[in-house]
Amino acid sequence: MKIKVLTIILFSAVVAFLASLPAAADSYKALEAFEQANEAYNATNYAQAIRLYKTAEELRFTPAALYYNLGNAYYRCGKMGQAIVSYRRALRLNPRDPDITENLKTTRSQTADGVAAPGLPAPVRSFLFVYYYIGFDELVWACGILTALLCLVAAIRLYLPQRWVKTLLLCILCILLVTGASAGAHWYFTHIRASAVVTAEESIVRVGPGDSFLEIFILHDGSELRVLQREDDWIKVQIQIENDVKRGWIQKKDIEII
Amino acid sequence: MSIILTLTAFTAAAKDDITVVAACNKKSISLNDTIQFQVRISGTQDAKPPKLTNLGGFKVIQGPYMEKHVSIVQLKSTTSITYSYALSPTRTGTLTIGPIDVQVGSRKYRTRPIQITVTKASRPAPERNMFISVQTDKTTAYIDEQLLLTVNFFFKDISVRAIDPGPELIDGFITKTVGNHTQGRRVFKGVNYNAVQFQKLLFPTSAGKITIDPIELQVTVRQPIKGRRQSFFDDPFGMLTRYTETVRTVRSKPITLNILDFPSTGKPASFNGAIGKLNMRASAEPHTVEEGEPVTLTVELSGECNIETLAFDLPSNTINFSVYDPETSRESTITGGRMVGTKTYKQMWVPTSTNAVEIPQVVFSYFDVTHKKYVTLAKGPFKLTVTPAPGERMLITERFTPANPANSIRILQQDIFGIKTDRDTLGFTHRAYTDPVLISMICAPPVLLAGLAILTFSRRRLRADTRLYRRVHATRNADTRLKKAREALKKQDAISFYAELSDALCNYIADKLHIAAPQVSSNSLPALFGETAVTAETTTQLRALLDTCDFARFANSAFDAHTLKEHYSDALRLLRKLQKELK
Repeated sequence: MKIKVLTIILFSAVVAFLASLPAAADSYKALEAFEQANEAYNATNYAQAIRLYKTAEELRFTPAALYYNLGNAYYRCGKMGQAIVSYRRALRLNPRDPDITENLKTTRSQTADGVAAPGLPAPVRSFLFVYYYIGFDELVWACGILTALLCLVAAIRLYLPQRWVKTLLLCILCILLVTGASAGAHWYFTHIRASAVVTAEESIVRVGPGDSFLEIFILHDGSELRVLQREDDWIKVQIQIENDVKRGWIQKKDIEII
Repeated sequence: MSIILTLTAFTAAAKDDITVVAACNKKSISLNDTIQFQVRISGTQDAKPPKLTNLGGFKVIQGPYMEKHVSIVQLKSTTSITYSYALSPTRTGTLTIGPIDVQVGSRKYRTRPIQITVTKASRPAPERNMFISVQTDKTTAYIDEQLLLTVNFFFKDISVRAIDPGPELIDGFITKTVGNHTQGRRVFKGVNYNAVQFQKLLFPTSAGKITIDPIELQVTVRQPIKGRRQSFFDDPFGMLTRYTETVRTVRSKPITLNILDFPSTGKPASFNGAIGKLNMRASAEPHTVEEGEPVTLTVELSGECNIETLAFDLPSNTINFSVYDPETSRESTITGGRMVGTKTYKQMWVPTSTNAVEIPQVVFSYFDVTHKKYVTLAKGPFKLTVTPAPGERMLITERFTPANPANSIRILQQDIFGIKTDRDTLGFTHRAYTDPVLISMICAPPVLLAGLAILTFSRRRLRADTRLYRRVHATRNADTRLKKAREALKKQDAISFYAELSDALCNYIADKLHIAAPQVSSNSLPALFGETAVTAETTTQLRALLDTCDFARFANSAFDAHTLKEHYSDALRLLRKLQKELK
């Protein structure tokens, strides 16, 4: 019986190891592409750097530094919209990096419209304060560790029904709730109410999803939007101009969702 | 109607003044070039196209195109008709286009011969049916100077359905797309093609020999599917022809540009990389203010340059002022292959004392690309009259935080921070939610906890309920005793064997019914099983086995190994039956 179990464990380990080999090879290729991209950037070959950073990204190599560097390369190529997209992706992964914040600010100051997407309401911001200090990956890891810790303390609680264990359990549960909600907010604002940036030189916003609808206003490269609805090649977006919020439909090809 | 009649009459009257002239647009051409050949017949519009039989080494590649002219001057009409052709030489040398005969009514007219010198082709004429030509308006330029890149996609004799407009970015340049693509007919090296033209503005980012890599276009071509050749009667209108679309890649040749750095001699201190042709306007309004009232300094730079990267340093000497971050706005368009526009800076200057008598001069330098020299533009200083303010206003303005709280700090230029290259500080290199360790960290503990909780609670329940505990453990206890019976069987110890077998059965029944084991005997079984689902057959068999066990234990009878095994099998079978019937 024991030999059977050991054989199954050993077999699983070998299969897991073999399955991880292609991923390890991809990681190596991605890191190589990233470093080549850095070299191309330093040699002012920004278009080549962009291509290489994108190659690394396609190989699922996605540290905040990659998006930050990609943003820099786009900035140097005069593609402010694409640069903002990359900086915001970097910021989502590492919100505490002042370089990303500073470069994003500099890039925004270079855009023609200076239009930003509407932010979260103040009470939501207060509750999800972690959202602004911890990156998405860090939040997910924190959730994983807190879940494991919560289960461990709950297991201890089964055999040690003391008051302090219960208090500890509740504390961990509260932290997990806030962390999980923040991670959920990240997910929500990435996949459902995503932000987007205009990457075309100029894009017309219309009343409805089609060329026949009335034109409302024109946005330029770098304007930031909030995605409300998607319909084929058109996306309903919301923008904030000072205190005024405007909505309209824009062509999908003219924007990039963050 | 009267006008038509009059024109007809004039035409008839002028029929005798007919002249026929042949002409070419060039006297000398190369082998892969073409000439435009015209036959002009004046005095009539009734002439049929002439037959070009004697072209002497030329062939018609286009034409004839007919053009009619009518002009009336002082009631006298002049009519003419011109037939145009595009001719291509077939050999070098001095070729003669022979006399051309033109039939007008019943009369025949003849043109004079024309001699054309045909030289060797500088390059062989392209025979391909699609290719790309890439060129820039300049081959030498300064950093950030505007260059117009024109990409022409030529094709003939094929049906092009779609063209991918090629790369958006080009190494070594900031690129801007110029309008939409245009399509038309163009002659390239003497051959008439359909052409699609894309244009981009390039702004070099660094000096040196920069090569624009071959530009690739993805072209979707529609072709008929080759198959059985159909006769006219099978498909008279070509409606049954099936087509296929294939994507082909067309690649241009690389081109190299010489990008120059700005000359170091005569470079002004205020120069920060602007190049083009610019004008500056500046104003400070209002001129008369009280202390704490804002004055807006407006600087407007306009002209032909890269407006998007244009940088300008506002005055740094801000003594006696609180100065706020400038607001910038820009408008730019691409006209005639050049970016032109305006960049406006608006900065608020708030006098903090009556000594603020002027806003310093604003100075801007750029490199004039036409005259290849630096040009410095200056406006101001802007004189102000600042009067003392009531105390309240000063209190209000003091609440603002000026952009430059310390006059010693001066923002020279704005730029982004450099890239991050350190491998060790990359942090998470992959998305966390794809990490198997994390997934197991999130999924496994709750499952383990649930299992542990179920186990703990079931154990607690068993401990609290003896009846349940005995019922649950009855089989396990019976198994333990049967194991001992098996060992006795191996040793041929009949007494121990039957003792264990009897104990296994009796204890199993006692545990299941929650009674003491000695209460279970062969005689008590019918009464014990009275309210259970145990069948009479099972009871009878069980009694028989228990009696055999008692007999064997106390009578010490000799049983052979085969009989012991049979009794063991009977015990197992009965226990299985009891498991079902005593549920």
